[in-house]
Amino acid sequence: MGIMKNALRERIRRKDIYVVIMIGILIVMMCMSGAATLSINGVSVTEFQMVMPLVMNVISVLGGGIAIALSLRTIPNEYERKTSHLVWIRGVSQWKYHGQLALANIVSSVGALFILYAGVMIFAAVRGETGVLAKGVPAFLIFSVSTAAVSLFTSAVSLVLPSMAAGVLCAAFMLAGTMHPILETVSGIVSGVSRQLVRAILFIVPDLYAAESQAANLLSGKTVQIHSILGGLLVLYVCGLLLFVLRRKEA
Amino acid sequence: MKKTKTVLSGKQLLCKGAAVLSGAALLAGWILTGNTGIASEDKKIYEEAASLQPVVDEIGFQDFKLEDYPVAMYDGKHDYVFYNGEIEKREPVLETFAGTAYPVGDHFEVIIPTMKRFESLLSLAGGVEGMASGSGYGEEEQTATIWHEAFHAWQLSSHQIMGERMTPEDFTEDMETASGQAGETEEDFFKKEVDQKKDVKKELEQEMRLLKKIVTGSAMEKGKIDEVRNAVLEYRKLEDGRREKMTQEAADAERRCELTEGTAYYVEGIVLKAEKGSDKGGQTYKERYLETLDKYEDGRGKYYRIGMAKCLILDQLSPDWKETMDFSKSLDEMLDEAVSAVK
Repeated sequence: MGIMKNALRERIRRKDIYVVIMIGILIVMMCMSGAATLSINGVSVTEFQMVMPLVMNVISVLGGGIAIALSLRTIPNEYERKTSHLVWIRGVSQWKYHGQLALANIVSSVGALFILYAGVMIFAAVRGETGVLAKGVPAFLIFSVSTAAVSLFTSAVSLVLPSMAAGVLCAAFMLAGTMHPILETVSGIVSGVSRQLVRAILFIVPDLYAAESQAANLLSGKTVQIHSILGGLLVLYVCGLLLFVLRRKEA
Repeated sequence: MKKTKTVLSGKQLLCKGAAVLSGAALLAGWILTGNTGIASEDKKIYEEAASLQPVVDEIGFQDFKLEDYPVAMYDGKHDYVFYNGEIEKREPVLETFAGTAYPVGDHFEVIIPTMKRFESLLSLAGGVEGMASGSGYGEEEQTATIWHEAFHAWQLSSHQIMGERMTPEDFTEDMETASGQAGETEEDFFKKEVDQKKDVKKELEQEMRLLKKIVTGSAMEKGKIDEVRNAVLEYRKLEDGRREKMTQEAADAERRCELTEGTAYYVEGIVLKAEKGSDKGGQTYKERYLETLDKYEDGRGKYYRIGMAKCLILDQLSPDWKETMDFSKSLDEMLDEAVSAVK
């Protein structure tokens, strides 16, 4: 666990966390100040139950972006600084080494997501939504599955691709995964080659939104679909397998 | 060449075995909990819609039954057709997302997207605002939409709309012809002859304000028939004056759209009101339907409201108008007759 702790300490030294806190505060202020003027069918959206799914959507995309930013350079940096050699001579396996660094990425990504999510909980507390607060922790565990998967996928891909390519691929993975239901709808609207293309993307990229949306369902008292949560965990598992399978040549 | 063989320790074997087992358990759980058919939410929506038949019977349109029409829900891959107490899965008839009454073989069916698709569509259409659309369009609205489209299926199946009978075969033929031609659609008429003509648009806006005033005014509420009658006469004069500036085709398109969509919108509103319960339903109905009666919208949307307003006025002037309704006359003709009858 020493490798993971060091990687986490580096995160804290890099002060990434402060940027995330700023974004979190901004979200809370946006929701509470009334600056976010939103209306549906001409009706102003001010109710917590109406604002919450919207804010959760925004947070999931922001959280995914932050997960990529936090996870993209961790492993390549270790190799560039030749820190990896110091580890190899101690007989640590590549899988274990990558695994601990990836775990540090997941912890920092989920931690960042929690700061953003805390904004929703503060908003709920201010609005006196005690029912929502009570479900806050289990909902967060569900909510964080997709962000953890994005972080793990980024760690795995960063092993074999240059940073720019890995960043673009992971951003595409995260966006297509988060927008899965929208892409499914688009696939029903377009025709011909476009439809085949969208369907191919849907086939390749897992539905990251499904698990995330269950957190919002839990908070708002709607039915939670176990299938979607298991799907999210399965994606996490496959990303873990990817990390296990992909190797660095330098090692 | 010497081969090196990796020997796994007992602990490593145990870890790998646990990892494989966890993966297999996750996969099995995911498969077992998967729903390959229609979502329970959609089944519930159809059941709720069917249970509202007594409410619709009370409205008064004779022989209009939801159970007479198959309701197909399209999830982007398949249609799930609710009919005769069964749900049939089939290849989609209309591979696009639309709420419509559509010809299938020798009959008309209601086709709507599944709730999940509808929410997603609204997200697409409404951008960021649409992301919160779960609160704007929910199960109750979807149920009301089923009744709206079923009403169209009934209009097309059982009536001649202003003297014109449209069989499923005619409908299909028309669509095939229209797709190959660049002819003017109803929507084109409305754009060209109303929306893009400032003076006509202004006059129509004035008419819509007057209609709203009649419907929501105290005369209607207190049953002052003479006052309502005089306001309707004023309205009809304005409307006829405006239509003189339009071509016959465009004026007829207006009348037809008001008749078909206005009545369907009227039924939809009553269904939604009943679903939400007396207090909340009444408030929703007021906010969503009555207060927006004068909302001008390019294209067909405004005629839904104009038609509905006329239905509500007919409720006051001629309460039995639905019992003999056969869609052969426009709502204007029916209004004129009702006004004459209360002289």
